[in-house]
Amino acid sequence: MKNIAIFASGSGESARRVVSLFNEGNRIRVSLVVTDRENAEIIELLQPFGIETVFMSRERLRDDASELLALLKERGVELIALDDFKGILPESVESEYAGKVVTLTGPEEAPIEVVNALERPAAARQEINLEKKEPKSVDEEWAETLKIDFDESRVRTTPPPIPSAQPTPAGPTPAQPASPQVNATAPNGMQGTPFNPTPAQGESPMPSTYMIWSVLATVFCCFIPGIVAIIFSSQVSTRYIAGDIQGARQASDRAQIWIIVSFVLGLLTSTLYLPIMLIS
Amino acid sequence: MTLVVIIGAVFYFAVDPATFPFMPQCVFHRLTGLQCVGCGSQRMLHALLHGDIAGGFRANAFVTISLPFVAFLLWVELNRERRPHLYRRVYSPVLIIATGVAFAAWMIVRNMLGI
Repeated sequence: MKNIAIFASGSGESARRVVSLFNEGNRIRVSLVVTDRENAEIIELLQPFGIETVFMSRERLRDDASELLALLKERGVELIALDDFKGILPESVESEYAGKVVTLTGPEEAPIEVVNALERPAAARQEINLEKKEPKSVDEEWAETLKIDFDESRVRTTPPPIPSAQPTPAGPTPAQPASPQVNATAPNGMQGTPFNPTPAQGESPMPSTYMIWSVLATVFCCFIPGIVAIIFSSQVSTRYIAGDIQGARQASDRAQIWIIVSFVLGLLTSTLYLPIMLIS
Repeated sequence: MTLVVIIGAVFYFAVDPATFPFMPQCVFHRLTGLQCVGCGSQRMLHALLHGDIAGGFRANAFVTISLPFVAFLLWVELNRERRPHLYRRVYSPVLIIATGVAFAAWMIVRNMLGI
């Protein structure tokens, strides 16, 4: 299990992407998030994942670096990923994690960068040879920016295999590295990886359909709102499969409401008729 | 929740809905004369709690037959967090829609056949 820490200043979209893809698996885990903005959206975004989020102001980062370094060490962090991080990594942290700092460029590319950085052998993660003054290619330039040693023989033309981070709903999944992924027309040239059309299912389990309660409400209480509840229950399922987690949750909530309506109506109508009858 | 179930079970065991005057009644039935999906379910419960499956079948055939299935669905629902894969497979759109259709079909059939 490799632990990584994410330093973020902004909205944290890349961070969220990394977290949601890796934390479901068991090879890479985001164990810590550090932000230098007090009410960063990233805190809220990552809350459902239950990750430790630490706020450190710029001043604290500058003056209290030893605390941060101790925390990183304590969490066993092996790689630092910067997601739109506008602060400055304290020098002690930078030297400790030399060659193990990655800048995430965007939500879609972020996980690849993390995997790339983690899979390079430690020997290659040394400071760039300062004698090479003129970067010759785009790859070399990026290597310099990311502070990773550039080895031309390791330049890939196809994206690397990504450790499977999706729970498999039915039966064994073919191992991800075995799936051919090059597709010239896809925007980032990847297929059969966590970026496929239904990545959302891997992030969170299906919200409850309340189907069983819809059924019981329909049969034993009022069947009209009960049928409505069944419709919403089915919507939870269809929407979740389509990848619309938000919509699925919405439908789940609505199903709940109609179940309650059915129950209350059934209770009222079946028990109140007697007094009303007696009165009239 | 289990308390409610226990109270309900005791109640339907003790009371015979055919003779007891204070049973909850279906408003839909009183107003339209038609039977809804669950009509007869109280008598059905009483019969089943006394071990009379045939009586339960007479009262409400559809629900009597589907009771084991309902028990299974309930078990899956209660295990939603522990077995999300199973949950997802069982509560597929197909199943849920099929249930809705079955309900509607039963309601139509029973009003046509008078059962």
